[in-house]
Amino acid sequence: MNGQSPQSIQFTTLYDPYVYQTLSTIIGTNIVVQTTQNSVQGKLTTVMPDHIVVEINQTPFFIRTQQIIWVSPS
Amino acid sequence: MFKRVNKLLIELPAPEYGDANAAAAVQELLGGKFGEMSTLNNYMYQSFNFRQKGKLKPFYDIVASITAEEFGHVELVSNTINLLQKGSSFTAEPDLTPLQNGKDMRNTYAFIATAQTSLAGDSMGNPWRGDYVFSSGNLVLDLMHNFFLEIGARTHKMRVYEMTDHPTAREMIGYLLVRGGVHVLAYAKALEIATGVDLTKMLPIPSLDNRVFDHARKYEDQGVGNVLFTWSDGDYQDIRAIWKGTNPSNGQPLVVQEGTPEGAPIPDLDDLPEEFAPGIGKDEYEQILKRLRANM
Repeated sequence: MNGQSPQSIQFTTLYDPYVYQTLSTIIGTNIVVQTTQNSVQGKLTTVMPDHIVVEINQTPFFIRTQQIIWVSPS
Repeated sequence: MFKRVNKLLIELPAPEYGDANAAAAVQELLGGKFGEMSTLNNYMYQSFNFRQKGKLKPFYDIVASITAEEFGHVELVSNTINLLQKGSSFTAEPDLTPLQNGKDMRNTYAFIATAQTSLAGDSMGNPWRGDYVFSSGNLVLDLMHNFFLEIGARTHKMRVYEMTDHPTAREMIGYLLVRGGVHVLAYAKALEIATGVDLTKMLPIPSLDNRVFDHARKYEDQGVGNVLFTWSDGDYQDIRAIWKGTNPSNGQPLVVQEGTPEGAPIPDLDDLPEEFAPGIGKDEYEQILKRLRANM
């Protein structure tokens, strides 16, 4: 920028590898997820490295893993 | 006397998520000083206490018929509060603390006292009070009070609208802003007929039009703001002597419609085992069914 050499930008992401691994083993089950806002109770349908999907009455809720406090089977 | 219809005034959206703190704010529109319980009880007692109902029939009819509409508004706001509390707890055994999130919600009565439904109180949990009712017996004074009460109620609705964007709350507020606007105008017109003074010139208060609010615009477009209902099969016809002419906010003719609006289904609520509500499990329900069907 302005004739200077471009700064190198490094993207980092916080990653909870064991949360990801553990949740991946219970896909399809009913769970309660306590988030920083509230609890969400429903069926765990998808687990990705940075978010999960919980379905309540066929409505998906995409929850960032970083906002999860705890997960419990229900 | 009153006849009840098992319908809600409008269809409320019921998304799969709630907002318990929004429900707490909406309580002000139910049991606050300017809430629907206040408009209901003011017009109800004023209609009971009305002197010279024959001589002043159009005024009696307007206060009496709007009473019935306000009952429906209490029902609508209560149902909104109930739907807003969706997902505020999870279902689990008591030792797993399933109501733990209730500790940090503004209205703990909702978790402890009402099983996540409406409370006959305001947004701070204060009970609705009988001294919110003004029934002086002086017709002009009571009508002025009602005009003021409706404007205060409209103001509070606008502010709660600005506090929450939850679709259930906004749908209810959008509709009630329009109906509240009808009642403001109805009392202004009643006062004009009673005194000759045209109060419509100072409207709207606050000075923004209902059309500013996305969820009110639909109802304005449908003409909901031009209609006054009789809420009766045959009675309260003389509201026509007051509700006439045009709506100063849009220039459209004012219409009296006999009876009630069509209405929409009453929302049902999921059972909430963690609140023991309704507290009838599968086994108990089978026993109840047996007794219901038995010849006793």
